Amino acid sequence: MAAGGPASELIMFIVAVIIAGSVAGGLAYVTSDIAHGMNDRGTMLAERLRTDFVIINDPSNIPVTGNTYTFYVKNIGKEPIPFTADAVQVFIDGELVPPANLTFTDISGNPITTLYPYDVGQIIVARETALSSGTHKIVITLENGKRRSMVFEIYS
Amino acid sequence: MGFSVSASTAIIFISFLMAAATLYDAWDNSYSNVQAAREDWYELRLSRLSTSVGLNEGGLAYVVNQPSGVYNVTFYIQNFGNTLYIPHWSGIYDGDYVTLYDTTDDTVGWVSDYTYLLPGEVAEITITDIPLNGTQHTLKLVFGNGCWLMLSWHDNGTDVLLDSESSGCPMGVS
Repeated sequence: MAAGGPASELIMFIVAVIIAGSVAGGLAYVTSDIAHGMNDRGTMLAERLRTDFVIINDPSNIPVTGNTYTFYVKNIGKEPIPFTADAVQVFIDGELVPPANLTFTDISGNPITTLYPYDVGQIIVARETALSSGTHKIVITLENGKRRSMVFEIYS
Repeated sequence: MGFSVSASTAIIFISFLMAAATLYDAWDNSYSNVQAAREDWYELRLSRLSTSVGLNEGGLAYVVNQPSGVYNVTFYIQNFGNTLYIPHWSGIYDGDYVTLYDTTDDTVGWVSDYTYLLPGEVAEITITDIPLNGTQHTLKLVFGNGCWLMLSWHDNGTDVLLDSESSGCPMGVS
């Protein structure tokens, strides 16, 4: 025996509510995903705008010990900078210095992982061969893509 | 049938309103965050444009200690631009990092405990125990906003002579 009028109305109602609920749930999921993406993007952009640093060495007098060169980096932004070999890339004359050859310390020589605003840190670059006398260029790139370069002179 | 359609329409309409509210909230947060960061960015660039520091008319003063073969030199640093916060300054002397608080930990330091250097004010920085052998020395002062002042000098046995004074600010970071 077929269902009567009220029963079929009830079934139609339940089905309609289930379909509408599914659509609403999907919409909520997608919206939440987009909202998280917008927040992440805003945070990333703000962090990038607040990040700034400078290489403060005297370009004509870089501290050298054997094949080891010391570069001083000052955080002049408002965000702490991750200061490790995983987060910072160093190029000298266009060649990437392997992370194993980089040491990140504070000015007293103690290893650090973060460079706070207005602090100065040291990047100690150990090379297999000494840089030739003359002009060279160092490029330091941070995790977020910000980079600074400096042309310096090495005297024999 | 009519009630089912109305109910499902109401559910979808409410879900659209909630989605719009969520998206607006996220956009508003991001916009405020980025706008505040942009203001910081402008502030830093403006501070660089209005930074002007150099030696004042007095330039430098020096004391030569002939028997010990060393001399001390004091530079009078004048602020020709906007106010600067001296504790944020860093120093590089002859290529090496030096602290600027005083001369107890190294040979470079402020004469007094300075904080803010107001426009027109002068701060005195002294370098002690410099060998009296005619070698050129360089002091680079880097301010909190990345701008710098670099001074080079040498001695001729009796006098201290300023070789160069230069200043600059970092270019925009890429």
